[in-house]
Amino acid sequence: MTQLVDTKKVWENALVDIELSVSRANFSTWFKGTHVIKIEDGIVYIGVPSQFYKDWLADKHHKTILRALRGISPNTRGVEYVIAREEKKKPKTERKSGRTCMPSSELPLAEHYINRADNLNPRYTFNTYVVGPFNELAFAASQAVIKEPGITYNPLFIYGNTGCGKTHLIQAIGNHLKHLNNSKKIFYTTSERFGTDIVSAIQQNTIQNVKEKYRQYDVLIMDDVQFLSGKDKMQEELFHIFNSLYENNKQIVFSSDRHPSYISDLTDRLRSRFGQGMIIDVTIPDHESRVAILKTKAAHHNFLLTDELSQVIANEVEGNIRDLEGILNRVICQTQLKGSSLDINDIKQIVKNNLRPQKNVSVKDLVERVSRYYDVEDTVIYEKTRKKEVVKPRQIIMYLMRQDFLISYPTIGQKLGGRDHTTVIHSCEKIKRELLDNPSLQREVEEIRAMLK
Amino acid sequence: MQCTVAREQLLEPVIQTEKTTIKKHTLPVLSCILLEVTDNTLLLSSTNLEVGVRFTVPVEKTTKGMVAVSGSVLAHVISSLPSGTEVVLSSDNGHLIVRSSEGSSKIALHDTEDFPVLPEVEGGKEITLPAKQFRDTINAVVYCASNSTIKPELSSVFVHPDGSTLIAAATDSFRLAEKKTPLKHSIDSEPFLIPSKSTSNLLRILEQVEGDVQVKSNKHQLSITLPNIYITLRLVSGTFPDYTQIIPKEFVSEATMLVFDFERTLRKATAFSDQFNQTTITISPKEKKFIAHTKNDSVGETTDTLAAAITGKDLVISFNQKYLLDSLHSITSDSITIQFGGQSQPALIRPVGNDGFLYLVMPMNR
Repeated sequence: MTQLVDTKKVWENALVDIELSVSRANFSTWFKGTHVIKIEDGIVYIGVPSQFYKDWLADKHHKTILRALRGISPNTRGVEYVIAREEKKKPKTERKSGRTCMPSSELPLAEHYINRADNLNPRYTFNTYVVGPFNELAFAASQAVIKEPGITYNPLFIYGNTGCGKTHLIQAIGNHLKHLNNSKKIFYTTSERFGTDIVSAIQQNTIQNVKEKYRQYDVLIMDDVQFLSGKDKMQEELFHIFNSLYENNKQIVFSSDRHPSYISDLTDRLRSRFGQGMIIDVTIPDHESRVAILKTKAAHHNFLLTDELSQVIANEVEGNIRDLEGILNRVICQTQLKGSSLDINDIKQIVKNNLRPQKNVSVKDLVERVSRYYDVEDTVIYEKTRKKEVVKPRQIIMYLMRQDFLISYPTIGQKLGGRDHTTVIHSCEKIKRELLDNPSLQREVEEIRAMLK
Repeated sequence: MQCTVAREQLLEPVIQTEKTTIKKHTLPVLSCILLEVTDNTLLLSSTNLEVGVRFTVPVEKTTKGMVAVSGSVLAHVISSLPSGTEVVLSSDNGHLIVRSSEGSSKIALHDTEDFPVLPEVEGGKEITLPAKQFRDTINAVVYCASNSTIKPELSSVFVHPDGSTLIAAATDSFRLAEKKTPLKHSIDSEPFLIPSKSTSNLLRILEQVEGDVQVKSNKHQLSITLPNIYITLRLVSGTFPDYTQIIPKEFVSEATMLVFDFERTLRKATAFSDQFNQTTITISPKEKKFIAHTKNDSVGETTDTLAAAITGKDLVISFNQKYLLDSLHSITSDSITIQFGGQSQPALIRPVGNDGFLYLVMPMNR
């Protein structure tokens, strides 16, 4: 950041010098719209509004500019002119006022600003990405990827539950790389869209074209690869594309809702390739991160969210960022309707009304699913056996009943074949303890929970 | 500098280049036409830093040289000369002397030093487009482009030669027009965005051409080179929204009517329009009625019942009548179909029997 400020300073100071050496008319016509993009290896990259400016500055003022820049930083070797619009802060207020006097509704274009050449949604940038303990590793890895695409971590595999910001992160990588180097061919796709491509190519006998298409990219970003599960032809094509990109040091980024080892029906050669670079998970944001995310999103909507309210929302809504966003939208909408800010009770009400209620799962269901997961007969859970392969699922069932469904200890005991409540307490405590330092158990419990949803 | 040229040869280039001049107090030379005489040719150039044009005119009895004179004055002088005369242009001591059989005018010169160079397109691709189709396609949509400068991609015309179809689209987010013109040859090119302000210059030049034009473009600049004309213009960098996704596919009601009837009704309505140009349309398929009603408290109101074939549900919906009227200019067939998506859903206007044009318009908030 400081470097960026310095670069800006250099150009600002140079402009002061240039202003003295050219006529005022000339200065305000040709130099007002310029900005500095970057300074690299002694070359200063100046952003100009169009080709007219580029040609004119290069033709007529190149020496003046170079002299002024050398005066400020002596190691300047050259100047390059790049046609680029300066990124300005959007004049939000102006737009708002414009809208109120327009009685016609607007076409819903805003959601369709996706660039068709690379499929990237410009909305997803690192500026709006909140980094917290839950995703800092993934963020660091993505920064490393940006620094040296195709070299540091290739492929980068990011996994995590739905609504944890995977798509945001991987699209931000694409957008950032595009911003840094416009000539890079970047392509974002979902595995589902990739599948459609392959299927229609097979139908039309143009599979070769699809191969060519995917092989030309410098950066390939594929979202939700778990959907490749069981689709052999797609996996095969992806395998070949992967190899050809990988050999040419092209960056590949994948995302999935689970670790590659847990994606079922995935050929081993693809699985091992997913793991070749870097596999990182993004978990559910912690409380502080949730507050930060709420604030960022609120600022994005030009909405002032008080500390107190953001704390309350973050407390009430756990997990999923999408839920958080939904609640926030609801709060903004209600505030606008009411005309005054909401109090804590209003917020609690909104949260209660909007979060989907926990699905009712019967004990029988729970037992069935858990026993299926551990591959034991569900009837043995109720029996008095102390076999190791039965005890663990039984304990997990008890733990889940207590934790997720808030059933009392005696009832749990009673439901699971008339056990004493102390047995149940012991089991719950045991699982709780083990969860703290046994990641594989954590994963198992998480997966069972996912199955119950 | 000196040259001799027939007035008719000179008139059009002078008028055309004058259109691209601009009054800019920071760079006064932009209000000028640059005249440059080389061996038997006269080059006339002008630019407003968005568009640049250069005309080449064959001339006789030349002495090399280069001057810049006020575009409006020169255009005035040349157009006022009687037709069929021969014009002698010469420069001396700070003036351009325009001499004809009738008399002579002296026009003050500007410094040519500050006159910008017309850029060439670096790299980029070249495609061949039929001039007439290119012009008509842009013309059919350009009025929909936004006037605001906040979103440059919306104040421009999206042009996409896609296979054997030339597609143009423009929207200001309240209405959208798309025109598809079939081409004889297949051309594949990246889409580009022409700033709507520059289209008038481009269209005027294209009017001069019969047959095909070579369009060369890179990401930032587009140029067309003809035997005697060169035009270059800045393109908007950015992404045009993928509007194909918002074109509705399901409708609640549909009305087909004569363009002539609808246009007459809307024209009459403009006299009664309020500040929002609101016209309310009532459709009732059972009674086979299509009623347009416009009311202004201080003027009065007007109601028209149009002959129309109507299917679907009853609907009362308001539109900006200017938006409706705009769409009719680009429609060449006799009748149109308006498909309504329901309250606060866009309506789709299409000419009957011609699928090339479509117009999407949002209703007014009630």
